[in-house]
Amino acid sequence: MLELVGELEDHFKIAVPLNDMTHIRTVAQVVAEVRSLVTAEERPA
Amino acid sequence: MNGPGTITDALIAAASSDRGIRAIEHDGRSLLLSYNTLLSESLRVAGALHARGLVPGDRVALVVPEVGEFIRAFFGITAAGLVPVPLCPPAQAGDLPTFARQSRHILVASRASAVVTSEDVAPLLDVSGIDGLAVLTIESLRGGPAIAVPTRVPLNAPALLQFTSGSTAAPKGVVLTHANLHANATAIAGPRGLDARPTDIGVSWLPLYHDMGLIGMLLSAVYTCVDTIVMSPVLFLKRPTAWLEAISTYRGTVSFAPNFAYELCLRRVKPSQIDALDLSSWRLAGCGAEPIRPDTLRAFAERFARAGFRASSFVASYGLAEHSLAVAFGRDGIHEDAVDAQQLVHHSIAVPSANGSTRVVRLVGCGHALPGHELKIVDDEGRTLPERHLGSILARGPSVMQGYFEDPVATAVALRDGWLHTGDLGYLADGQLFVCGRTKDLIIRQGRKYHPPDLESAIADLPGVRSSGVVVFGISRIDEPDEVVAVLEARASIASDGVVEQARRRVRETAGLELDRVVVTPPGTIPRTTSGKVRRAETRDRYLAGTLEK
Repeated sequence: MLELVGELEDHFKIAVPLNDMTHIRTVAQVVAEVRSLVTAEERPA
Repeated sequence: MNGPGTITDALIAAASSDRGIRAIEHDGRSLLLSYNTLLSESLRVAGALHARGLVPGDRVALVVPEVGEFIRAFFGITAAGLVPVPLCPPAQAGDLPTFARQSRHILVASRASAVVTSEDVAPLLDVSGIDGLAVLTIESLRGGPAIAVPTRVPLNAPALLQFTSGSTAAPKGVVLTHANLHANATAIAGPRGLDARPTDIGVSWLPLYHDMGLIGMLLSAVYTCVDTIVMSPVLFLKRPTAWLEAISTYRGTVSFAPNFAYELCLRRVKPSQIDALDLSSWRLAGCGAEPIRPDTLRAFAERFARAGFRASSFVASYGLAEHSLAVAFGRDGIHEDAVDAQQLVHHSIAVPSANGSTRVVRLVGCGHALPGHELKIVDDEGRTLPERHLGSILARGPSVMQGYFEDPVATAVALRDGWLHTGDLGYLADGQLFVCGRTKDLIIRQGRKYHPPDLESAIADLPGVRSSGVVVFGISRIDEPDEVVAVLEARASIASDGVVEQARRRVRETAGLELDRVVVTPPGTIPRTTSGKVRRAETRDRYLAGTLEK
């Protein structure tokens, strides 16, 4: 799981919060988490 | 190293130096904590714990994912004369139900008066109905008020309650005193251990809730007053190259890891990343906590030689929590003993193999007993065996635990006539220890120990599976990863594919372990005792012989 998180963080240039990983159980949840983090990253400060 | 002292005595001594700890968090944030600053912050945490009514000797559980905060909390608990009980944080426990169940078990079993955690983790704990347990966040403790001086405790007072790692429904609490920890740290640092030098720099990603990370890398650095880099295990698992980059950047000289970490680096570190590394400072590359595979270490040495890594840096080690940590170190590279497989398997004798023999088992030497400590190999009757005879490994000396917390039965099994029965199998050759296996049923993977009854109970109530018709066992392989097999007795009307998938999911969810094989058999296949208990070893033997269903 953590290997996957590392790959996703590097690919999408995001940082997955530590405790968010513990909630993720399905592929759909992975996609939703990545989408949410990418959107937050792209949002102007 | 100074004379015998408590953990806090060691921190006070280190605080007079200009050295300290660099904590690197899971997201790469880095914090430098000098030992002097750490002592000041520990006194504030200690004062805050006293202000909440905790008194010396109370056990305080510790579940803090951030490395820097864990270190502050640990030394604060110790400075208050309290006994830390480290727990695995949620991100490493697998999933939330597993974390909640395991942490609750330890909180209850340790009879902890408080649990120190972070604001993020506190809501994830299941503490309902645990009387007298205070949930305290490290953020709330950092403000003090500080105590002027640390609380004095005697050397023979409990210093640490270390719960054995595992899946696990029932991990046992190993009671270690300050004298135990000092004895082990002294032996580790000594000339027949790692021969620590003032210029050494430790680098570790090992979990601080585990003895190898906490005692081997963190406490040993404080006792020997050297600089150390402590990295989040989450960061290492996400990016193994971060471990090697830290060694390269900070000129690390001592770093330990289980075999799987070296495998992970072989798999995940890219050639372009190797080119950017300088590992020439790494004089002691320890390997332990799970079976050591010479092929892995050879491959690592070859691959990383171009970054300056030397195969002679490898240190094969053997230890266990019940012995504080270290039992023996094999210095100056990997010492392989090629023995005749047939003789070993059938006669339990490690006979050097003849040249050209193809039935060879290659084992790694873990060195000699540390000074002031003893090792011996005994047979099932407790008789000491000569060299090269395989038997149970026993250890004796000042590092041996006081016992399992409030568990006299388990303590009496482990400690007999002054000797610690490690539960592991091995032999001595020229006084050097070779570890061949472990207690008959224990399954070890990536440094974690899984108890088959825990795994069996996770799948025993699957629909269609015969009650108590489940056996899980591990098969230790010499040249390849261990295999974990589940045998289920199921009704013929049940679709075996569905049962297999459900069993895999249950074990994955409860223990974070992947079953390699799930064998669905008709009722009556699993051998049992006359009282109806399953015979695990016999089931494994029949599986290996291909006669399980005959």
